[in-house]
Amino acid sequence: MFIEVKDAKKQYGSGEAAVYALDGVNYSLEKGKICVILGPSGSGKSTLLNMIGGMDSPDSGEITVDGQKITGLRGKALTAYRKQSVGFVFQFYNLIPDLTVEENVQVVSEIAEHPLDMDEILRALDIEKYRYRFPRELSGGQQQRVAIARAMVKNPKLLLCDELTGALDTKSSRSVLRFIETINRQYGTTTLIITHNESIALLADTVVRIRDGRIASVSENTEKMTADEIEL
Amino acid sequence: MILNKRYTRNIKANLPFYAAATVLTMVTLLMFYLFYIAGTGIHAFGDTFFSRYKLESATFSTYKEIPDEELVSLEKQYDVTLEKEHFVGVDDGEVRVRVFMPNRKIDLYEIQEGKEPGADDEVLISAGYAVENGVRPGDAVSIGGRTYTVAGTFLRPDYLYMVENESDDYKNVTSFFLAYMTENEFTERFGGGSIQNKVIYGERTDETAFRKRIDSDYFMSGYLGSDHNLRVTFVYEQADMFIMSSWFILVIFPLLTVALVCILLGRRIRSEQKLIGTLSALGYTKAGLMRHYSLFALIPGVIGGLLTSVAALILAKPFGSLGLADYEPMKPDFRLPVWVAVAGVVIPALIYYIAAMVRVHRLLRADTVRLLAGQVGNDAGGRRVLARKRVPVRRKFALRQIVGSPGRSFVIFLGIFLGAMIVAFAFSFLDSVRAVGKRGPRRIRQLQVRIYSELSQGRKARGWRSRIRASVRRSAITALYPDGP
Repeated sequence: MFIEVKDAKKQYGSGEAAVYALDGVNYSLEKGKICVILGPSGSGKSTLLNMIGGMDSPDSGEITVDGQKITGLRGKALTAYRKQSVGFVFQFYNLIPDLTVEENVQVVSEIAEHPLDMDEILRALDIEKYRYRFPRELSGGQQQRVAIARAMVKNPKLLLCDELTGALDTKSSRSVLRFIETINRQYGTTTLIITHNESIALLADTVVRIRDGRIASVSENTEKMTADEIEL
Repeated sequence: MILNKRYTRNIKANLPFYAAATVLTMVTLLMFYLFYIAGTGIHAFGDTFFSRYKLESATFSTYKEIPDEELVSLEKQYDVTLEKEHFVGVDDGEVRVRVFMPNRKIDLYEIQEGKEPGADDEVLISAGYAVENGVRPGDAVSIGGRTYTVAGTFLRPDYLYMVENESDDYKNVTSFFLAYMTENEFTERFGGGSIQNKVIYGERTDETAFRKRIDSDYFMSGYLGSDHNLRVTFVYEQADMFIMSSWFILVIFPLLTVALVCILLGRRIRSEQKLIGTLSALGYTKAGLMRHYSLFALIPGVIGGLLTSVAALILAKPFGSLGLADYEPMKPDFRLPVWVAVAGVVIPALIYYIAAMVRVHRLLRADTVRLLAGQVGNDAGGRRVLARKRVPVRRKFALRQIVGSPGRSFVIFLGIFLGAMIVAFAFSFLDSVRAVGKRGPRRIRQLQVRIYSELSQGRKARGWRSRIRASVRRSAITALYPDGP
């Protein structure tokens, strides 16, 4: 398995006020698959994504990505994991406001070991014409595509998308999903998307439903659809 | 690094902050620089001038004249340099002149403008009087009813602060001056004049033995060491006053300013925690991020320090000269020492650099997730103050604004304090200058007489408290007015 999560637990607060964000989660995903994690707010899906991305650590349990145990990684080793293995797309894009589109992507490409061709990615995401614009001069959809370009330019093994289309209109959402589909097919990038939107699950190979910090169900999507086919 | 492009853009976007931090650094450092340069400049001038023109160790007079041949044996016996000075006081009514025959070994003069007197109708006059009264070489002055042409002006080391009498405490360059005429003219008009003795002690001099010998053989009638001579000591006192002020300013203003800027920098960095979290999530190392933000912090320190050095170079001379307005027209070399200039740039910049580094380091100790959510540093206990109390919401809100952000509150209070200190300092300085300018020495003298008479009019002491008060009053009068008001 490419991703393996074993009995991951995470608790916030203590005593009576303790809340389990993850309560013994077991999860696995094959390489090159797209997985959509569905669940209501506070169900623990973002916590799981952050743990797999090396930004948070479980109180107990173990997480392995591509054979590398990431629980317990600290300092330079953790930074190296984030830098080399994970591309992260944030819900609110988190672009650097005083850098242009091109520079926002370069910020990552220049620290990556085997970066992809930036121009190719900008073309593929249809944002090449905005390359000298600043984030504030772009729409939400355009900013999200820049965020995807920034995550993908390092050629990560694993693409993690937090509420990928949460802040986008239908047209922009479809365009972004189309690109996710393309890069998964073209580069074989394992992709994990967390969302509230049930429709996006139709795009996935695997659909995981989380409730109250536990995995409620895992299902293989036998009737996988393309981004153009699904109704958003 | 692409990330470095942020520097210029960030400065443009946050120009008011960088400008304020730079100006604040500059103003406070400049105050230190100017006082330090003025003090060290005057001190250095004094050292050089006193040494070059052979400042006396003391002036003394005797009831019995020391024979010339005895001077040589005294010099050898006590390792001293001795010289008799011939002078005469001439009272021309409104103006009084002290005329000297030039010395050869002690208290020599330096010509400031013009040349040595070439004829018996030419004189040198003291530079302060010449400047004050607009007398230039070639002009005429009257001494004892005879008119002389001013050949030039001069400074001498034992008259850099021009008081007429030893007991005076304020300069007189309006109705009193010094003059040198040719030896021939001096002898013809005044004979030998009055005589006083000048001495410079050597390294092996036993000063007490020398003075005892002079007193026993020639009966000393007066002795004034240069370390008690107002005309000399005022130079170093002014220099020391400037230097002490500079260190006082350094302790108060730049340290507070640096603390203020550090707090502001810390708050700016904290406001960028989402970005720091993002860069960390994208794979940027802790060291890289610390370096990136620390360089932001260098900007106000380096620019402020450099601008201060430039401003100090421009303002040092006029500022220092302002402090020497009461003195003979000395020309110290007001120079900014390289190490002070370098320290002025390096120290604030380094402190800002370290402050930024520490702030980023502390931020990165928190979870990346909390950084991304902008939650780090927002959990001050003060934000929950009065949470369970039945108090009007407006009051709760107002109180939480103050105690909920202690850093911000501290910055505001510190800013007010610093501003008030600078304004008060400037006004007190202005006030002093105006007071001296308007009222002048006469008013100061009146004030001293009033203080003296008030101190003297104590009631007859009864009881131990009154006796102590009377004793303190007597000591104060003695200390302030040893010779009466």
